[in-house]
Amino acid sequence: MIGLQHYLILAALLFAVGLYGALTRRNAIGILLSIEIMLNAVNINLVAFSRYQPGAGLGGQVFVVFVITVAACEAAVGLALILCIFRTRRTVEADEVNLLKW
Amino acid sequence: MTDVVFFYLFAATALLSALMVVVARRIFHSALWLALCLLAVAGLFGLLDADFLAAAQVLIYVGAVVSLMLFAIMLTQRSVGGRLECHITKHGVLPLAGSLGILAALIHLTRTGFPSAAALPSSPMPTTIPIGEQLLTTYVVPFEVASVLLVMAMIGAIVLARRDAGQ
Repeated sequence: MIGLQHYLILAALLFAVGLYGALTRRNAIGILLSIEIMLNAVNINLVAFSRYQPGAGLGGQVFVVFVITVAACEAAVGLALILCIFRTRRTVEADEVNLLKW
Repeated sequence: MTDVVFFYLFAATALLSALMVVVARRIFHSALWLALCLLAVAGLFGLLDADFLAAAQVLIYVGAVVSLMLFAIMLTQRSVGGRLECHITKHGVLPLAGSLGILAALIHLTRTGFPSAAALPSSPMPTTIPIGEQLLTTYVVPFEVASVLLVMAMIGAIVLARRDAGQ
């Protein structure tokens, strides 16, 4: 029987994989992809809690709707920023975008 | 019994494709693996009786966000003389240690007393109507804030990505 812990451990594994990707990817779009994995791990946790906690209602699922909304906004603005950087610097490697770094 | 099989199927698919997103050398392949990972997560939502969220996940994430990523990847590839591959950084030990530490902490947290599967409460299966009702009653303020955020993100993305944005 699948319990709450199965979902929590799966979400922890997905979050760790996404975190590793966000820290090691050099391509800025790759970092965005890893962040989407981390957001999905959190979504699994929210849905699992709202399913398994007695009397929790649908609050967790409504929160996932908001998380999906914010993730879509983040992807749109993030990709527009990356396009902007690519036009001026001709690169999307995060290591090479270091104008504000000393 | 079938839900056990489907849970492990979806979980293995999600984990393996997430790993492929992180380690794939070509960023285009990463985005395609991400689509598979998001589909598996949608299957998990279906197993958790969240039918509306499973549909929204497929429509918004796989349909919109991943195709947006694919367009951005195609627009930012240097076709002449550029590196089409994207490399992992050389100093990969510290990120690995950090994410393994986070993983250990999270798994340790799951060992505290959560209700077991035996006490699984029943859920309203078509969740679309209750979610819609709650969005317009209990959560109406966050709902409005989210719509303002969507408009702001849309305007911001248009302004940033315009050709003459720098002038």
